[in-house]
Amino acid sequence: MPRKKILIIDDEESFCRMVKLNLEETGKYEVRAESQSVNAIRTVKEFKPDLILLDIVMPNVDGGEISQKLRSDEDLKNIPIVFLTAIVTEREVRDQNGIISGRPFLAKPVPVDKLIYCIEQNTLV
Amino acid sequence: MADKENISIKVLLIEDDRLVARLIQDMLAKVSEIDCKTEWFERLAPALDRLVKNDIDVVLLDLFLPDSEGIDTLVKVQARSSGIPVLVLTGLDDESTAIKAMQAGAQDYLVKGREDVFHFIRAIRYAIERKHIQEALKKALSEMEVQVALRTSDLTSANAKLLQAYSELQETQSRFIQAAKMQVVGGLASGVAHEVKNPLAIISQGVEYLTKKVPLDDENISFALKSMTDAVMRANDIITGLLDFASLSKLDVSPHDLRTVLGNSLLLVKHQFVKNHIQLNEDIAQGIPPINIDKNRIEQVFLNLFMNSADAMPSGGTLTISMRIEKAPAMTGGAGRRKEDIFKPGEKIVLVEVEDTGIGIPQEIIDKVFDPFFTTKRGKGGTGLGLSIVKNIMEMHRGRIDITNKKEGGIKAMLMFRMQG
Repeated sequence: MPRKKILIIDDEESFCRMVKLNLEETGKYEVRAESQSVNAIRTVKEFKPDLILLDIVMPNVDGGEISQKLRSDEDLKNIPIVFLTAIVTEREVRDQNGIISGRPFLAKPVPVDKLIYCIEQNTLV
Repeated sequence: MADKENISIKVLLIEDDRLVARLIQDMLAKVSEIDCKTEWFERLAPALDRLVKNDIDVVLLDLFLPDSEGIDTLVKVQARSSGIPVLVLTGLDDESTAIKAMQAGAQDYLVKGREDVFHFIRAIRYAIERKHIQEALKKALSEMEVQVALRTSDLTSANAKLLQAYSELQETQSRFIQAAKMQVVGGLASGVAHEVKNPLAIISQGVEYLTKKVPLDDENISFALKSMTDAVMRANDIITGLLDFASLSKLDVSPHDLRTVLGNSLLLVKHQFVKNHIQLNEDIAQGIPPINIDKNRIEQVFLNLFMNSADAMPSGGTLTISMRIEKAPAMTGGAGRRKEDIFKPGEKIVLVEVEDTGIGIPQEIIDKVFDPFFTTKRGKGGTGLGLSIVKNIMEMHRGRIDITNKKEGGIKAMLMFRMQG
């Protein structure tokens, strides 16, 4: 079974690297990290991920803008996006059953097993 | 009083000396300006009976009668005649008694044997005039009293309205201030939270990675990793609590069945209750209408109370939940009181009571349980924010929570919800 391609877009480089390490440790994922949000769309086009983990608060271009651009692009609009952000709390996410404004959300800090569960839920064929 | 020259007056003459009485009657009959109708009594007792009819204008009174003597005579007449002018008749040798009589309220005195017609008429006219003035004054006074009573009642009701308006204003103001404070705190808290949660996220990912990579059979390493994991969780709980606390400036309110909300909260603690062998009793009244609440927040309130009760009953107990419509009760002596009572007297509320059979709250700290960061579970997962958030949520709903220790042990939490608005 081929490894799922996960792209994490977050300006915290060390967070990106830790998530990459933890996900790849399972052997089920190939992870690319992009910590320059201005390059996000280019990286998506190049890497063609099965799912994007997207931070919201980032300098220059924020996660909301990136999400809009992806949605309005015919080739990219079907790539599932999971927002992974510190601006919501676990309780807020739980109260809304993990979906805020129609998008799946995870609150930082997130345990690895929860992250994996969410990725699996959103990459079901 | 304009035509006092032609007025007709009734004179009651009380005099035991027939001669003097006769003399006075003759004199009065001769007075042309005033039409005097005189009734004469020799003794006091029948004269007092006559006074009962209350139609006498002036009393001419000898103080020394067969059945009464001295000032006492005057006092008895005054007691019966309520305000009728009394002219005292005295002997030539007894002017001092006459003066005492004046001090005791007689209008004037006439010395027997020295009566001259003019003096007599003047005394009677003055007495009557004074009486008229007194009557007019009395009438004016009673009219004024009516006016004053009316104005007083107007003022009283205006004052009550003002007080009510003032207290509403105060409550609104304090809610505005609270909301403004919360907004500032909220802005600050969410900024800080974001900046703290990002590094926490890195630490937690790092710790999880290390947990897979280092030999866990080394007790010290596994202890270090476990401690770090716990520390991250604790820091995150505090930040989350702060955000909760701060984000209370906005409630998402809509009509909800409180029973459903309660049921949802119970589902979330079911596992914990089974684990702690906690028996659940429910006594929910029928027909409670939906009320305006922020469903998630109220769920949080119930959840918090249930978890506290579960912690207070680690090896079994009973949790009793009752819900009914009630009149707002008077203040109890427990924690959670507010200075001003937020419910109108007799206002209908939905009352939810949560009782446990746990260890209770030490009486010396019961006033502190709603204080932010006050906790008896420090280091055991308590942030000290739970009940302060609960209280805030209730107050944001303009409701109330009281927590008291029960005599037989355990606590009782009373949650009071507004039925309207």
